[in-house]
Amino acid sequence: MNCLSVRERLTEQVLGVLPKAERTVLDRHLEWCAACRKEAGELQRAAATLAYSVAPVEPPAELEDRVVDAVRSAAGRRRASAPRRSRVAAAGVLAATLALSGLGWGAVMAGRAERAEERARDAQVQQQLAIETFREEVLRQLPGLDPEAIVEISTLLSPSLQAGRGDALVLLSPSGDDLAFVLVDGLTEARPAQLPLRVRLVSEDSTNFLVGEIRTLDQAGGGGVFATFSEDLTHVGAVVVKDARGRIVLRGTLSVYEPTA
Amino acid sequence: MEGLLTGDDDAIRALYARFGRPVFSLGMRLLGSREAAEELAQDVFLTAWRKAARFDPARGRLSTWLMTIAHNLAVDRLRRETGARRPTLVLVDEVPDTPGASEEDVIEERDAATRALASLTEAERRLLTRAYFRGLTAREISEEDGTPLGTVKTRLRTAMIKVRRANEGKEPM
Repeated sequence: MNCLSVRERLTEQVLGVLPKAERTVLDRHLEWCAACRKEAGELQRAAATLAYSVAPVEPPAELEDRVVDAVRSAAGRRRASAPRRSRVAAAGVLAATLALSGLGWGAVMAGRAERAEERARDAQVQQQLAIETFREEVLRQLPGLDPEAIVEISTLLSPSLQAGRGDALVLLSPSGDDLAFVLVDGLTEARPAQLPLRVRLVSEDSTNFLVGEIRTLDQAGGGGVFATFSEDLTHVGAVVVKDARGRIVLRGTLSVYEPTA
Repeated sequence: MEGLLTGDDDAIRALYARFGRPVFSLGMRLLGSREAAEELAQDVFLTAWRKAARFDPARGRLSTWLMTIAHNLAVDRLRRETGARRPTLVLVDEVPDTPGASEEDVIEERDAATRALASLTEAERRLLTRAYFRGLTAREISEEDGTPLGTVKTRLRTAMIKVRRANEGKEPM
């Protein structure tokens, strides 16, 4: 989305009525475009003025205590779960990753390739089920993870049309750490000298985050990495896998996973 | 905001003292019941706590950020409960000054809102009300009115520019 189309949508965005899919793309643009961000900030400010234009109503006196209790209680739960989470995070994510095959990771991504074919509808349903199951599994393994985490997915392909592909899934958590999972497959032609493969998430301003290194590939040319990030990955837009010489082996663009109704 | 992040009582109470009333008012006027407005208020402050680490004062004011959260949550709820009866919206310039303690910045915001409403024509006011307070998309308004989508978008943009200009140079720092 370029600046012109962003500006055309900003009014609806700040009024809160822009369709969700467009909102996500627009938010990503605003992360790196300072000029549009300034315009959005001014319009947002004007929209917030409207929120104050309703006639005031006095809240009940006890509401303050209820609000304080609700926030204090939620903050207490987070404090209680945080140490446990940090201890189980690595094991939990690993368990979730290992469980992927059983959960239908193949279906998650196969559906993307088959969309143009006759089985597209079935594949999409399978993909949706697999992603939901995967998300539930990750939430189960990582109790501290925000259940409202947004899922982004990407199919990774070779820029030189060579063999191999990959899949990435990023969980953007509104309140906690973000997570990234990247699996590769079919890289049977990769030579030992090309290893390790370095997997990075790249934002539109070229900031990048290392997800990890794939040091060995199995017989099918497969491997995977995952990582948790305290940084906000909202502005990350692409996944790049490079070999030990710095050549791009696979790459893909992340898009928000939108379950169909 | 650091106090809010850790669930500190004083920080939550300070935030509530500034925004409890406008948030509750928004809930009452949009959702129509005390119960719904109270739920909205709790959700708004919980969301503010959850997102506090991401609030960046360099990108906007706290009052904008918090009321944007309140508005989004209220409209989400409106859109989920499509069959529910909606209250008649009452705006600030339609009632006499209401007694009640308000922080100075909230009074300023209300003055800004009154100026903004005064800058709009009746048609623009109705249009913004339907989008902002009822959560109707430009397409939905276009279909309801039989007006071309592009026209609705242009009118919305024009109205928002007026709202913005009504308070240019009057922004408290």
